[in-house]
Amino acid sequence: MSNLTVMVVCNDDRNDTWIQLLFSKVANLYMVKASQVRHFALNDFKGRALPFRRLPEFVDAILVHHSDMKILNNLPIESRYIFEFNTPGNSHRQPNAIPIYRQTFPQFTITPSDIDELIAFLSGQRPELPAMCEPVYTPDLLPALLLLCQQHQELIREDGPASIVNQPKWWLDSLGLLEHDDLNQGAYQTALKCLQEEWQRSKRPGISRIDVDRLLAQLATEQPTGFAITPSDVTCQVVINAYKSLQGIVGLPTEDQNLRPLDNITELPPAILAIAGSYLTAASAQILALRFKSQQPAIERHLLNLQDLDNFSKDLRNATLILTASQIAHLPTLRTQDFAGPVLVLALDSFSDLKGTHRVLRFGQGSHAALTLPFSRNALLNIASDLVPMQPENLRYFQNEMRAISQIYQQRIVPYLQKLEQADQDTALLNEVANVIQELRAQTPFACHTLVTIENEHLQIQQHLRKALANLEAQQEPQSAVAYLKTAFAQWYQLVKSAAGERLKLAS
Amino acid sequence: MMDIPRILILEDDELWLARHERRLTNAGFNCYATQDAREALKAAKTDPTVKFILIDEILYVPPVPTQGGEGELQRWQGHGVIREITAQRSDIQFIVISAAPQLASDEHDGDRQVFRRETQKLRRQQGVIDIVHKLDIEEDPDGTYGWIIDLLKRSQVTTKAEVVTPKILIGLGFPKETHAAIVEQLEIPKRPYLSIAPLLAQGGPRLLDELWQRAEAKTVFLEMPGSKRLEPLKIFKPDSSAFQILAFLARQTETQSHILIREQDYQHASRRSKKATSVDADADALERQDFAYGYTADGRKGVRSGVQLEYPNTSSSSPLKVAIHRLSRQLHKLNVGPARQLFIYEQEGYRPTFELGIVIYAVRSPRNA
Repeated sequence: MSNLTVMVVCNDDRNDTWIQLLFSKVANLYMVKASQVRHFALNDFKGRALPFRRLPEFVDAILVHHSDMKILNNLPIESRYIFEFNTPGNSHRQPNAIPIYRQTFPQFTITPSDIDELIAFLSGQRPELPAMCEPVYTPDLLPALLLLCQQHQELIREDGPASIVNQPKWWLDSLGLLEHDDLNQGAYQTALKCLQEEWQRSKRPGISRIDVDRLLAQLATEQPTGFAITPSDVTCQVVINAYKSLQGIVGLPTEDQNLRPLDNITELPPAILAIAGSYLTAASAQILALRFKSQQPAIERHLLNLQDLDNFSKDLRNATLILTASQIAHLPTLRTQDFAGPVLVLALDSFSDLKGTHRVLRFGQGSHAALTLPFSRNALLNIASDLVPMQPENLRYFQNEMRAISQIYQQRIVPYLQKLEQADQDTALLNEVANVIQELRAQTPFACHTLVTIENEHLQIQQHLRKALANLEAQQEPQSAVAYLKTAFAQWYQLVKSAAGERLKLAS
Repeated sequence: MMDIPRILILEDDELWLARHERRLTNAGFNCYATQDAREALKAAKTDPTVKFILIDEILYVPPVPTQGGEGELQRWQGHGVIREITAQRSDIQFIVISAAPQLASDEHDGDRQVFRRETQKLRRQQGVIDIVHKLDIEEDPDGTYGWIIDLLKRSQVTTKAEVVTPKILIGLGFPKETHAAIVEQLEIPKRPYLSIAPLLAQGGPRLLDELWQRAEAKTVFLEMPGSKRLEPLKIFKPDSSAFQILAFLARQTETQSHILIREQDYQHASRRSKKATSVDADADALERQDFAYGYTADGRKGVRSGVQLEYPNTSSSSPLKVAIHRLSRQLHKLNVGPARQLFIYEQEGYRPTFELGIVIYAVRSPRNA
């Protein structure tokens, strides 16, 4: 047990989870939750309620939920460190806070060993930050180059030396490095730095980079005025050698597949989309578009900029979208704009792990899939060919959940709960709450079917809500009945917000 | 020999699936049960003996989570499966099993707007003959399954006849006490909706006028084809032309008159036209004739080349015709039937192809705030 003082600032039940993990590992533990403060001294598991004025002036560390930062800003407390967490675990680096890169809802993925590392860091026993504060490193450019090498070899076999894949422009365009058909100087230089960094961070940095450098040299050469696209074609042998090095550094796919024919596909997508910022998704989208072009010549790859996401074109609503794991946070924004197209995620995690972390991927089997790095070109083409757009009902369920966050929860549930807490439980108000619960169930059935534990009862959220309302109507122990109802609504809110991610702008 | 109809059961929860299958199999039905929407679609599209489908509203990828966490939605939900199947098999009928939680007691019935609205949405899908709620099954399994089995058996007997006979009822609302008094007078079991026919048998057509005048509320109901439950149709306000037409026809039905509405039966309040007429009243009729008509070389009169004749009041539709057309579209949206087939024009009037009637119901007393 350390002689540390730690405070957790979070308005929901995640606070309790942090307290359970930290209890008996620090000398003093403070919980700031909603309008309550509790102090947990050593061996005092229940804790004691405190007025705000009795909070200490200084603590060793504060763990704060991103959305509750305002509470912290209003507290006259100094701390050595502030750690910030959010729902999906993708906190951005704030000027005065250290982000925690772990999901906290619906799964709380911070473990006792993470806490041990945190304590060791705070005590000075560990010089580096805990592992939970390091962003997960996912290679991007190296697997993209590996994929393009595979594509090159396949198409040279099919089309011969005249194939488009021999042209440097094709490689650079595939990586998203062209602008108006010319090399984007800034983007290319960024790519070179990225190559350096990824090579260093790879599992086998000792492998020589010379073959990959030769390949890049055949794409663009440095001139006095900057880099210029190489006029001559790339050499097959250079690609083969680079491919071998990249296989060594990135790894071999777990399985290789034969390429399935496209005959069974009834409807091809109108386009293949990728969000700018990833070489791998840009290259994958290019390869996929080229494959589908044999059946549908008009199909193209579109690279979406982040500013394009708020004004999504309806013509692309059934296009196939390829994302990295970190880009999944943008998907809710697109879905609320009627994007119904299938989604393929390229990630280090398995699809079932991704679904566990990102609820937005659960809205429609067959419309979402993932490929685990490293993967083969054939695996990419086969899995993408099997994907289908979302059915209208599933898209509607998702959109209704997003709408319900502001329209139902913030505008109606929160005020009703406030009235109930003020002991204002008349029949008309209870009828309104009953109507809201029905509306919640009608609009967000998927969320309402989720099983959660409240007060040791493991039921669907809608069953908890129904039970809470029945308790209120029975007028027995109104305070605890209101608290139960509030917790059930809060669980629903956290669940649907977890699907929204932290970047979706929800209209008020 | 006619194929024995098959009941397809689509339910993502294993326990519920087993429950439905056991009950229907024990009742003598030939069932095919699956948790997978894809399988259900394939079976419905390829097996001509499938005539009924018991289908869940929300479909998760099995196994439906029971140990916490949450599931994933199947590619198709209940709505989508119905849509896909009815596109190819319009002969299949659906009973939707809904998990919508009915809240608390019937005393709050008047406030269950959302519940009713959601049930209506389900019922309005083409091919859906009724909705069953899982809570009803839980509370009264024998009764609810018994009703489903009866409905399926009824449908099997009349293989060619329509199971669905749409029925529109005009409800006359009276205070609870009056409703109770009528029940007592007629010596019938207490029900929320009482057919007016027995009362008229005793009191005659004049009683209908009296009841009509005295009713505190008037509502149009649509009878659910399967369960015969009545669904109020709030889009038909008592002062609307649609209500007027339906009420007239319902009254004719109950007084056993010839069921037909003619122009003279319909009171139409003419609308102020927003468009100015294009007829210039001051123009000389002879000048118009000279301008518009000429004579051919062989002396025949005809319209001059380049002249287009427009007659005043080019819309020759009668007010009743317009109102019938509008009403047909509204009823079509409510899944009563195809718009063009709901009324037949004959003997200079319109005869409905659906049934009508009048019922009496108890009006809820206003709640205390």
